[in-house]
Amino acid sequence: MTYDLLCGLYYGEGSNADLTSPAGRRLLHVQTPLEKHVADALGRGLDVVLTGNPGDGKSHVAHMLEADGALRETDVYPDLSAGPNAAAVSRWLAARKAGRRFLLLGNEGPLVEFLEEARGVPGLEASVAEVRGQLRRLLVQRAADLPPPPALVSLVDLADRSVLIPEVIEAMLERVCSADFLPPMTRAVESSVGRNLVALKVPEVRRRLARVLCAAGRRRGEHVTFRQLWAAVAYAATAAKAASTLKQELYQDSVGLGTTPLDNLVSARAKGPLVEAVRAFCDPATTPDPDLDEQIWSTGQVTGDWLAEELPAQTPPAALWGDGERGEALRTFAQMKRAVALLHARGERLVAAIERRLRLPSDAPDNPLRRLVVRGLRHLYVSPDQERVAPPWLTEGVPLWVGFSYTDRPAEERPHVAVRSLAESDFEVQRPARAPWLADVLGPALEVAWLVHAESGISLRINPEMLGALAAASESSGPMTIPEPVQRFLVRLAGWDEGEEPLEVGAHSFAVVDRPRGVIEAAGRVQESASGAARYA
Amino acid sequence: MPSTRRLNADVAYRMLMGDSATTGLFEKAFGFRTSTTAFKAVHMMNDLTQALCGGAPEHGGDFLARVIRPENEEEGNSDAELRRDPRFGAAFAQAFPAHLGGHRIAALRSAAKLVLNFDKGVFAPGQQMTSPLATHYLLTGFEGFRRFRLGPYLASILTAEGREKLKSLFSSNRDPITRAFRPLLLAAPLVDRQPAGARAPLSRFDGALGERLSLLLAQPLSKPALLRKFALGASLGLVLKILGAGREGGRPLLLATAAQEGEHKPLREAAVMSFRAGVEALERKLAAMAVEHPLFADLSKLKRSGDPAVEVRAGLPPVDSMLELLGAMRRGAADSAGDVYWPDAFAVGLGRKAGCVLPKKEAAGWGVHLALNPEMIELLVLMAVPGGARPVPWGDLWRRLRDELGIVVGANAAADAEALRAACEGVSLEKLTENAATALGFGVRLGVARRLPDSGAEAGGDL
Repeated sequence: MTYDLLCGLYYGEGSNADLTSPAGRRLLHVQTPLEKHVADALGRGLDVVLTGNPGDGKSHVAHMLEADGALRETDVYPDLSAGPNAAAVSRWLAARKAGRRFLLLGNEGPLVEFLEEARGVPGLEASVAEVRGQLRRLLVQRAADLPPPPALVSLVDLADRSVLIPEVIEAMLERVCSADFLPPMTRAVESSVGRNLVALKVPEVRRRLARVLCAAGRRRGEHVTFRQLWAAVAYAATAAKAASTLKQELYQDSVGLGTTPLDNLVSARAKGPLVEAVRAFCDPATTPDPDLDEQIWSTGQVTGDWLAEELPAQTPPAALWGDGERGEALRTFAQMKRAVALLHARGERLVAAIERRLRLPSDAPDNPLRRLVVRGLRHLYVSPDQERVAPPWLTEGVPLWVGFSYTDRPAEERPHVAVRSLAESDFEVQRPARAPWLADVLGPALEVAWLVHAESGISLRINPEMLGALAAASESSGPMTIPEPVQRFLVRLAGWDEGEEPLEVGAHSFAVVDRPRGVIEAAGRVQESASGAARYA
Repeated sequence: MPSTRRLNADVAYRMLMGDSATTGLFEKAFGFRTSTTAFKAVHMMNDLTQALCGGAPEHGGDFLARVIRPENEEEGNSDAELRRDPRFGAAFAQAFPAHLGGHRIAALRSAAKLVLNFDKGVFAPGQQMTSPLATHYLLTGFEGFRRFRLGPYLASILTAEGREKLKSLFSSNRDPITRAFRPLLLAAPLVDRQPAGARAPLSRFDGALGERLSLLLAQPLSKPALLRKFALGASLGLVLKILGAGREGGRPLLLATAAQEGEHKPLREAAVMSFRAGVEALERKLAAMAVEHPLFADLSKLKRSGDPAVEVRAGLPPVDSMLELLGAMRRGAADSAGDVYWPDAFAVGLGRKAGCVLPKKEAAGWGVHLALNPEMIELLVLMAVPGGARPVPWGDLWRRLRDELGIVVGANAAADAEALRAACEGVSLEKLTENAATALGFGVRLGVARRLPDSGAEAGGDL
């Protein structure tokens, strides 16, 4: 194996199972429950369809099973995109005729087209119908929407898989810290990449980096492919630096501060969803730790034990600041904190703090989560300060705030009116439900939940970003952007409410705010009589 | 033989803008007038409501105008004066019982102004300048802009179900705005000061736009949100209609950048070119119509040699000659006859207010182009896919919108580039794809679209 292969993982090259040698695949292979699940399903007489995004690891799984001898009784169709659907159909029929199992691999788009074309093929009708019944229904909002367990074919959608499991990432990091991946140069161990690989030999360093990557991916709240994860791991170790760059670093004696795995991940040059999530949400440099911060700032050193090679003392950032080198002071401070987070005993607190501040839907049970979300929805329109002078009905449940204007001005600038609040008990929290037979195979579900209005079925998707916005609404009274999905949620709820049974004659409440989180301009009641006349009461 | 012809500037002006005896070319081309840049969606919706419901209450919105203008003492709008007012005293006393007290009544009147006049369509009572943000026909008012006939045009393109739905919305009192301001709904017989005239023939584009707007009205949203989206959709539709009037079937072909004001727009230049191509096609159409206009024969009649005139080259075919005339008039050659309000300027003004035309303000060197912000993307999805239906593949949705309404974002990059070729050669496929990805990002953010594994996406319906 070569350093180029390691760098190539960042560019998605070395992680393409169809383009990698068996030795390379073996070296990069990280055992997950998926391989055993597929082998067991085939062993039980089921055919298996593996689908997902490019880079999710379909081909890798098939290659590894084949190498382990688990596919001797199975015909493999390796890529639906590589040939006409008719070829896949005839291979499946042939396997069936020969009494062999069939393992079909394809990205989801081609699979949808294939299923459409194969639905009427004699001999495959029931199998195709079963796959269609499972497609996009193996991870759903309501358990009642899950399909029955497979009888003929088991679909495994790797787009539903989470690879953000600390143990999996630790295993990947363990793979790359081998001497095989050192850059091809003299004094390779002294280069920035060499030092990173040596540091990653320490289990605690791997564990912390894995936790940071997990936290970033979970906070991002969207699917991460194996290929994207490999890209982040490779970039953390190497920053995709060419050997010539590494030599230059050595020559200039610029190895050290600023070249640790976390420095690499937060670099503006790094591309990819996971590294960008680390930069946005999980940079230890932006995580406060008063004692540590004070020590780094004033002394440029950290007392206590280093887990790997000790970082030499730096010019104290305070001294740099005093000399007018403010940019350098801030940079040194940030880089030292990143080094400490991974490589020093005191870094555990920093990593734990990053994990604590994430605010994930899975952190709270249903009822507390519902309370937090409902309260946040209220506070997006009436701030905690204004709530103190608001009528009681605006301080409970979810008031249906609606704005009205034909101009292109943002919702935050428009007046809003509410005449009704839906009770908190009208809503329920739903969470992703995974097909039970895949529960232990595909890892934890995405960090998402839904606040669902039970009667109408209208729901608001709560991902970490939304949860953060709702929590922030309750923690301050300053101006805030109203998340667009919240606006849409409320106008859909209000639309449902307007379509319900006819209004009863009588009095009803109303309130007007000059803008969300602004001033309550007016609130009171409107009294309507049977004659149609109305007055403010 | 002279190398130029002198054409009567006054006649040319009347030919374009119309007069008491003749319909101008602009109005003939669209079926409505465009001679202002002050027109707002709130005027359009006030007109449309009256076109559908049969007019405004006979008080013409004066009650509301006086309630929300307490500071205008010369109008006698104080609480005490309004209670004594022979026209509205009883209505005011009914809505605002005296026991509420002056402070509370002032807050209620202020809230009414804040909400119902947020778009600044209501001025002094009795002036025919009363276009409130009306969620109910009893909140509409008399408005001089109704003479432009935008409301009847929009009413004419909606499907029967669309017209019925809109009419029922304006008669319903279920929404939060109507309920909050219910005491200000003063029932009175309806008076239509601008009865609908003869319907102009509708193009294929008109039919498509009407169907899309009608589909929008069936979406299960709160009434104020639905009316806002309808107004934005109608504004966008009017921009498209004007820019498409010179093309076959009335359908434009406009590249729209997916971006918000101030953001980088990789396709801006191409979008500007497609916008200009629409204006040029419109001018060719107007030139062709000009030779059929009743005043065409009078263009050459100049009573005195000093009469204001526009010079065009002699010996040109009539349509080319008219094209030159239009070009000269754009450069101000007939300004002595009056201000020419060009339809594209009307479209730009209306589009800017709706947020679908950028830049928002005139700035040197900045070309005007169609732009879709997140709300516009949401709107187009709602116009294209019925609520509760199965989501539509992202590419199919934009193919439909391109073929029916002439909006291109690049979701089908190769086909879109080919369609745009006549207007702007060699649009980058990469940038088109990037533009469509931004549009998809907007849709996903608003929850009307979702990405599927394997780079696919779908939008609308039961999402």
